[in-house]
Amino acid sequence: MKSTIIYISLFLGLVLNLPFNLDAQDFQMYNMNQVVQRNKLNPAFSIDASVFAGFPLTSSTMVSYQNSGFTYSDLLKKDATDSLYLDIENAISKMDQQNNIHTEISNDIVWFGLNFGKNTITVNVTDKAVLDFSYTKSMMEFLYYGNGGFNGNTGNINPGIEGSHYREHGITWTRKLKKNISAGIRIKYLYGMEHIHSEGAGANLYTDPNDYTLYGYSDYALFTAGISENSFDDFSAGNYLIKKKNHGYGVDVGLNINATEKVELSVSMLDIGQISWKDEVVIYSTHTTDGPVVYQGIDLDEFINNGYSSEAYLENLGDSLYEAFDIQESTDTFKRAIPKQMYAGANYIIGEKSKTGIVLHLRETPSKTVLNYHVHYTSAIKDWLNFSLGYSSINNSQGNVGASLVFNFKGGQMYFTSDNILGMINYKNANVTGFRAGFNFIFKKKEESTPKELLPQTNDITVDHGNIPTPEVLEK
Amino acid sequence: MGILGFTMVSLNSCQKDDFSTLKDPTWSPELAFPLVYSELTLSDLVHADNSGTTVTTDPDQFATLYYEGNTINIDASSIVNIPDQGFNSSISLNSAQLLALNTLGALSIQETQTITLDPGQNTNLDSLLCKAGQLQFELDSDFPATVQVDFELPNLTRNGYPLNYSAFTTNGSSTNNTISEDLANYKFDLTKSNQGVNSIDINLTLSITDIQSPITTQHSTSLEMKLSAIDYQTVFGYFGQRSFLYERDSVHVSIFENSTNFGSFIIADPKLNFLINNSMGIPLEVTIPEANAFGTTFQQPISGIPSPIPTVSPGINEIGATKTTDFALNNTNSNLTAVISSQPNYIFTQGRMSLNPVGQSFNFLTDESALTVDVTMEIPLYGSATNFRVKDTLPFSYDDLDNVNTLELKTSVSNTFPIEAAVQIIFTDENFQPLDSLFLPGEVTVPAGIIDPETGKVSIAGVQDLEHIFNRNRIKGILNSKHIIVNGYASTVDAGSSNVKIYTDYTLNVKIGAKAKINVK
Repeated sequence: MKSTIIYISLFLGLVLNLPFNLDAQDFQMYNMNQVVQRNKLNPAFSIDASVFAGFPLTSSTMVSYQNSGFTYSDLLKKDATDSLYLDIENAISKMDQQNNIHTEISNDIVWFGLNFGKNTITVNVTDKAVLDFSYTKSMMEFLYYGNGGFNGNTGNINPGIEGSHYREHGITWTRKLKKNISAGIRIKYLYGMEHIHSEGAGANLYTDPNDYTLYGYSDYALFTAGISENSFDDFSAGNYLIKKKNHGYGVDVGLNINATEKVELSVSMLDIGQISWKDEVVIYSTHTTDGPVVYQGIDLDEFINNGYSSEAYLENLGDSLYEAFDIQESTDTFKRAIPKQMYAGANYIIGEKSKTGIVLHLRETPSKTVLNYHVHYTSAIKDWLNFSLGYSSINNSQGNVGASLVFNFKGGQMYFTSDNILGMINYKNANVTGFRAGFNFIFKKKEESTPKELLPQTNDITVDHGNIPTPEVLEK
Repeated sequence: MGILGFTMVSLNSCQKDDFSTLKDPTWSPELAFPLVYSELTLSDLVHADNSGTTVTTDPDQFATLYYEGNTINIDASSIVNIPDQGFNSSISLNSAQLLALNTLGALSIQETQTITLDPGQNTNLDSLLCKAGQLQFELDSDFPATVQVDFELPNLTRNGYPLNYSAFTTNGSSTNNTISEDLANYKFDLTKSNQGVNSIDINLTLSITDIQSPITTQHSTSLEMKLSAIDYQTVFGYFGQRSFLYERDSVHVSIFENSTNFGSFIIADPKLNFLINNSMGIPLEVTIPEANAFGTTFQQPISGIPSPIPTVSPGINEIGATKTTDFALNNTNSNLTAVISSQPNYIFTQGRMSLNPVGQSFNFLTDESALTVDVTMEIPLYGSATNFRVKDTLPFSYDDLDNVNTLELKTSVSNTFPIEAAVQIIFTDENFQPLDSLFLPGEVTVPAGIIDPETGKVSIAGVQDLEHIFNRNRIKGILNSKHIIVNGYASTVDAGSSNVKIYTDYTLNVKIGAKAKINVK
């Protein structure tokens, strides 16, 4: 039991220590017209440049952390002696019934593109690690408070987990179909490295209020690849980075329409695809297919009269329960879709450099599909500074105020975005925090120069008469 | 951006916590779990599985307990046993025989010898049919000639043919001088020799030819014959006047295993059955010189056993048959009801068997002949009990409660026996001094099931649910205990004033669940 509490503490501690540089969604990026990487969110987006390239490994680094259940400060507190302690009860009290932790880290290893005519071709190699963990408040209450308070009720242990580490090799074709419509598609080869996901309803434990007889049901499977205890034996970088047999594909599609001069609409579907996991696969499963496993306690008659030692009896009992829950371990290969996402945006163009609008985002998690939304005001100061301010609801967390800054200079740009800028400063009290930042080379076409013969000659210089009436006026 | 990044990092740095000060987490879950359960049937209550106890039922499921013992168990080999036998004979030639041999160059001598078996124990055997056995014959001679011995046992026959063989030696060599014969299915007729019983003749013919050098009186020929591992299918004769006293045999009356001889326990019609099975063709006399009931503090003789007990033997025309006789002690011909009421743990009996009590007679045995005297205590569970008390002391050591703050025990009992019981569990120290008890005095009275007057069977179970909360102080008492004493008092319905029947489908269900608040660090 002591080890259990340590594991839970370590898990929560790990999760809560992630937020240094973690970011939420890419809402703030979605409307930053001058940042080439917004194409990641909608392949129909392109920028006005003939050639662009990310600075290798630093063009776009994104890390993300969201926990809808509780914050760092909800769990870790200081007592009167300034010592830290875990306030698990307080953390549980802050949870919603359904909670989700989302972490994501991605980095562009390669990013470059060419713009020719109505077409833009972009190539990217991006390393991604995404982990979602869904949990219910009642599950945490059950684990922390025990089943004593669940007499007559069913405690449900149903953690949902979905996580993958893979490398995406993508090529994007963006085309201006009409003056006001552009579309894009990205085809991706996916190289999987690690994976975990769960399936099934989980484990239920019903406690009879009269005699505490336990009724256990289980329907749960944990699919893993590359994370078993032997996965990193005989490790070599070459085998790890290019020789695994976990291959997959993916497609992103997008559409951007300027419905009127003042209204811009966009929509994208991302991560339609799957990976076949074949290397170092281990699947753990438990299914009580023959009805509930009933534990009534030690059978006194058998315990006393069958001649077993108490240790042997309990060992047999453990074996019987293990068999009853049908705990299996297999190495069958499996396919798993990567979690899909969808963005939809609508902007109102205020002026040449300003716009405001709303972005909706749907994302699959192990427990449900989450709807996030974002409103923003985006503008620019001349050509060198592009900025945006926004408000987002992310992973059921409200009050996230985001900001973006893009510094443009000749031949390049630096950018920084965060959907919860306050969360970066005060991450201990934030459910959502993080950022995306990077550096890009951008080469625009030279503007066509005006022929010298068309330039005004000295003799042609018109004198500004100010308030002095011209001769024509005077004639009238 | 650099400034912004620096600011972020700085602000984050300001909020850093010193995790070296993190206290060990504490956890106080409340766990509810079933501790033990038991569905006790009559078989469990009378320890049927581990005591040689049998529970039988009639078509109505009415239960009768049987406790079995075996006072006498004797087989044929204990009466007649043929030990291994050996016979030796040496032949030398006298002067006349030497003269004839040296004159004629050959000589043949015939003689008859008698072999005597020794079955011992004043036993005179007339005949036997072998089931197994070996006959070995060896010829040794130092005659400087070829010696042939032809032997015949005219009264050792198989399928009507006597056993005969020839053996040779040449100039003292050992070639062809041994013979071995399997005696299975050979019949010994042991009455044809001059001795009349226990003996058999052997006819020998010694032939000497091909003399190589003069034979003198110093030369000799020896014959050795062995009978070994003789086992019979049947044996006839007179097996003597003998007496066998067997060791005491006990019947464990497990229903009283934990009783304290307190209160009353009355069985309306108990029986002590004696069953005699005899397939030995010998006049016998069987007696039971001792029959006593024993409790932890008492001994009570059982009266009414006839002496001798009736025994019948099969006649000569009933070879292989088993003759059965029996008799039973009950509440009319013995003190058995009183004996059972004393709640004995064991019934001891000792048997004696005498052969041919009136002298000479014709006896026979087969290899499967036997005499057994089985004793069975039969307790039909129809009767009454008042404050029938059982007590058991068990070693106890439990330190898993160390981290338990409070403990709540839920006990649920459902009883279809027509027996009301009071139970107490006492925790004691190493000197059996009480430290705590699980229940309040008189608190746990398991109500008896209610009997349907039409069927005479219990139709409604007696039930009781109890909750007990142990605080930390009581838990400490349990932690220090070394033994638990289980005390139980039972009475049949109406305080034991009328007889009830116990059926095998009656059960006593006990479930104990615990809810514990645990401190975990």
